[in-house]
Amino acid sequence: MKEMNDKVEAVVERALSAIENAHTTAALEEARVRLLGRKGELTTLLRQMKSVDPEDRPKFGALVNSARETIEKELDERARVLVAAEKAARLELERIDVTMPGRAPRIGKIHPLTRGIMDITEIFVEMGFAVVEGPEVETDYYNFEALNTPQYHPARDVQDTFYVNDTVLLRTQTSPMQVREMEKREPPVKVVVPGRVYRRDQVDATHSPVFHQIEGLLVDHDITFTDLKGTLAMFARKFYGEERKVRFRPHYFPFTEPSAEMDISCAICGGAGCRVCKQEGWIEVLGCGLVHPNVLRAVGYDPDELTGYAFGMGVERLVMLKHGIDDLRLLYENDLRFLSQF
Amino acid sequence: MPLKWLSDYVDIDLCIDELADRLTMSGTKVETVTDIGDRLNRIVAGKIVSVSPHESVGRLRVATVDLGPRQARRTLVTAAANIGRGDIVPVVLAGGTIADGTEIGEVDFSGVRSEGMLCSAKELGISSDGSGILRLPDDIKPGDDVVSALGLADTVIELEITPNRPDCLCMIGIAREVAAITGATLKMPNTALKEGSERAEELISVKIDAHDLCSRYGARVIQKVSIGQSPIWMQVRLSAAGVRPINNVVDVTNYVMLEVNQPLHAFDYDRMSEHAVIVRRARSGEVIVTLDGEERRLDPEMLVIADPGSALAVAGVMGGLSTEITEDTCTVLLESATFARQSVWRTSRSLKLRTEASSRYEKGLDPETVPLALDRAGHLLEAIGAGVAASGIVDAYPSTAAVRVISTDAARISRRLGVDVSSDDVADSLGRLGFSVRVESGANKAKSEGGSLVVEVPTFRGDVQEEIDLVEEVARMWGYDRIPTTVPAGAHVGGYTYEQKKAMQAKTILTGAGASEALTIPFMSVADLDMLRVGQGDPLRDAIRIDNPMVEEQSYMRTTMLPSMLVAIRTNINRGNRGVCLFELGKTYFPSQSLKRGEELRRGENPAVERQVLVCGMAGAYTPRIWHTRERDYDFYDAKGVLEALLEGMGVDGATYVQTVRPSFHPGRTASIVWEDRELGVIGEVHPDVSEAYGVAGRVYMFELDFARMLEAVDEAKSYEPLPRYPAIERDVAMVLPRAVSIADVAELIEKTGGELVRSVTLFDVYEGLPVPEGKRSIAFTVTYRAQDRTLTDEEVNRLHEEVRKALTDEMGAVLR
Ligand SMILES: [Zn+2]
Repeated sequence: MKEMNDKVEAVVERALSAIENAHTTAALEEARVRLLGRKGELTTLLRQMKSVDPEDRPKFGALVNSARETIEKELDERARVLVAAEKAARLELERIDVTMPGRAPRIGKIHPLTRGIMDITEIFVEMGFAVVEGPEVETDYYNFEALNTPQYHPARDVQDTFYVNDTVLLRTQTSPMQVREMEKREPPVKVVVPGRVYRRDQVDATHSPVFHQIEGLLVDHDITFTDLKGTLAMFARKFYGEERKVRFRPHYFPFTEPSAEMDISCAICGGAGCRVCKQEGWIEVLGCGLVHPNVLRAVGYDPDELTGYAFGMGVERLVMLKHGIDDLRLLYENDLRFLSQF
Repeated sequence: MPLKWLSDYVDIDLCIDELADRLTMSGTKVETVTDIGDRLNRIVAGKIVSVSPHESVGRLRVATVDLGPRQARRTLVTAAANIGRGDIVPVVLAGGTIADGTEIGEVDFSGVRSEGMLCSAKELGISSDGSGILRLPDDIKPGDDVVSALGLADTVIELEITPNRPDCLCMIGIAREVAAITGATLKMPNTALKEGSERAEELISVKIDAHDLCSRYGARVIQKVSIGQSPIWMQVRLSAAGVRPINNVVDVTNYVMLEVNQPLHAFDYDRMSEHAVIVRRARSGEVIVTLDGEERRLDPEMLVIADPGSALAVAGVMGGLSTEITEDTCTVLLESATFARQSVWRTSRSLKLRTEASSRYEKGLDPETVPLALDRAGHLLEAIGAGVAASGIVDAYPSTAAVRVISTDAARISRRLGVDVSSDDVADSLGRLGFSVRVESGANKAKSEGGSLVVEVPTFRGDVQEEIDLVEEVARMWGYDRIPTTVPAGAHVGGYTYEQKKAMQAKTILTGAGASEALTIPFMSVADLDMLRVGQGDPLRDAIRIDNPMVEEQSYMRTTMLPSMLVAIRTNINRGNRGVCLFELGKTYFPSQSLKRGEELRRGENPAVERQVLVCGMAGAYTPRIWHTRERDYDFYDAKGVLEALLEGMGVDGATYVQTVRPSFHPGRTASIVWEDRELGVIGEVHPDVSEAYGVAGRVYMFELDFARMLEAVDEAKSYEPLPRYPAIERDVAMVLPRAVSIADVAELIEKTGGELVRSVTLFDVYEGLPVPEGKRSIAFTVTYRAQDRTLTDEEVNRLHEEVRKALTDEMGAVLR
């Protein structure tokens, strides 16, 4: 019996060593067959049962089974390790270069002027303004006459106008929509009007014969200058940021009285003066005022009953300031190298 | 506006920054503040002790100059001939600089060392006269600093004067504003006169024949005139204000114009026949040679100043050559008049002649300044010894301008501003600006509708017409910055219109599909339509013409989006961008019926039909050279893919594409985009002749959509269809067919034959070339069958699919594979 015991132990020892020396799952599988297969050592040992003393046979059987269990356990353990290692090795082989560019769907960009118009109008929409648009080919009546700017008015001088005939022109401002909207709606009228306008300006870094404006109008009972200031100061804070200062200076527009221009403190120099603000520390951003009684009369509103304010701003200028664009022409060339930056 | 000059009329105690800020914040915006004369350095007055010719250089002279008790005499070499012993002249010492910044050193002139330089008026920046050495007045002593003695160093402020304030285009106007904001007193210029014994009204007569164009005409006669240079102080001031000194009479007229904003014109009295001034309309075809030597043809819309013989001046615009002031002039007639601004505006434009005078008249002048200007000019001419004024003025002023009176009250003003201003505030603000304010007594107040304050508007404030104008005056004196901010109450529902929202949605889809948004100038020319191969009589030629375009290429409003898109594509390709894909949602413009017929437009009517059109164009490389995708160029199906994505995203179902021919497009590669028998637009390859004409190398693909019509096709109320509960079965079918048979027709036949169980027909392969015979192509579809209420059996589908195959063979002659 002792002899058999030793044999079993020797088999187990060899088996464990073989398992340990198997470095691939294939080698391990080979070892498994060699150790536990029908021609395996343990099976061969079991066949020698006949030569064992019958009395010792159950013991011997238990011994061999125990040895088998030990070997199987080791085999399984080793298999787990080897499978994990081989998987890890395979994943390592599958390593890719994550810095290579992706297959991006091509994306176009919204024009910065459109974006600017959206940003501005959205602020006014939140304040309850309706966004409306109007004709670009306009009549002298709406563009000038009804806006308290009769023929020979000095204010006509500063805007050189494209004419189609004596009474039809390309609008020089979005302001004619003030009149059209008041004619069309019952007060209160609360609108903002983005749109193209035209002036006979030679093309240069700051001028174009075509550009965009946004007009605003509120007409209701008891609208005062404080309301105008409050609305536009709120707009300036939202569009330019809380930290910018705002000031209102008296100015002149034929269709508002009192009139003002709104300046914001220069973001570049913080008000100290620089090239962008022409050393003034302030940048003019819009014109505004209370609606002139003559404009209200032109649409049949009673200026003693209704008052209002109006404002207008040039979109190109604001967009150029916002993005630091130094040449207006870039906005109309549509060069993708420019457009793709926004 | 030179500050030293301004200080004659108002004391300025503020530093320049503070002054500039106060002016800006009260509505007179200071654009720039410039120091002048700040480059002049080490320039002193010297008295010439001796002058002798240079020994070896004939044209040079050597002067010894006394620089006063504290400095040694200097030797100076000059080429100027106009100096003599005893003259006081400006001397730049070595190391000093002249107006243009040139530094003067000691220079050796053939053996004579010049220890500096004698200066002309030009070198001091006073005038453009560099012909001789400037002779300084006697009250300047040797050794005096010339810059301070002549007031050459000054601060000039440039102001933005709004068109409603012509009264601010002069010293007095700005001085009045400064006085109003600082509380200082306005000092009017000296108008004291000696006057000769002869009476002006005996020397001249004035007759106004056109009262509508001339409301006041004043004249003064200056006798014993001696034309010469005006004094240096006057030249210095004129130069600082940007006016070139000419001679004493002209300088005085300019000086007074800058002072009180009243243009003056000087006639040579002796060259006026009968010494009679007639203010009349020009005769048809009348001709005058103006001071600039140009012959001008006049018309009866224009006003002239004439003598009984001929026109002497174009009123308010320019004088005539025949009565020009010359060196020989002995007697001068000074004109100070008020002409109708519309008339001057029209005349100066039709003559294409704009002058300092015309631009002032155009803005409207105060008739009450007419005599003031004449008296001031007379005073100055006498003071500088240029002549003696005859007694009195001749003043044709048929109907005195009425003083405008506006009644208001503090409460009404407060209501507009949203702040409480008192009657005293109003009276104080307006008073400082030259308005006179009277408080109505209690009894009158109760009766009068208007209010408790009666305001008389000064004549120089033609812009103040009604109460609201007073509100602004009060507000700007009060200070806009002191007015608080409020946000108007009242709930308003704002927002974007449906069209605006859909426009934004379309732009979002298109950018997602790889197109970038372009914005172009909506002009075009006839040449564009020719380049687009648009036929004569085509509606696209019915365009709105601009009467006064800047350039011919921009003389029409566009009727198609193609030209501007082609230009944008060309810009990109020419600049080396390998591929370009752009879209624009813009407008095309067609004349309305009324505009076409030249009829007057109804109130509210639009002169043009402005259509929103969406254009999308692409050219060049579809993909950049990149590792994962084979490089290729854009083709028709890229454009169609973008269009299909757009329509799908917008909710337009059921658009079909019908092969068509359009002048601007490739005859074999163009489709009409049709939805329910309506054309939404066109898609195709741009005709090679067109892209060539626009200078675009390579093929361009484009679609143009009528945006409003597309929106009509949007299905906003899509009804839900339950998700399929039963499996689908797919069957492929491949065949060879002539190329001319369209895929749409084949798919339609499959759908028709298969009936409602056919859920989709997808083209998955197209092949042309060997072994497929020429003129034919091999195509293959996947047909998906599914029922809504049961699982289809293989047999059922096989039967149906066999019918489909049979139909393809029988009805189309397809050779199945
Ligand atoms: Zn700045």
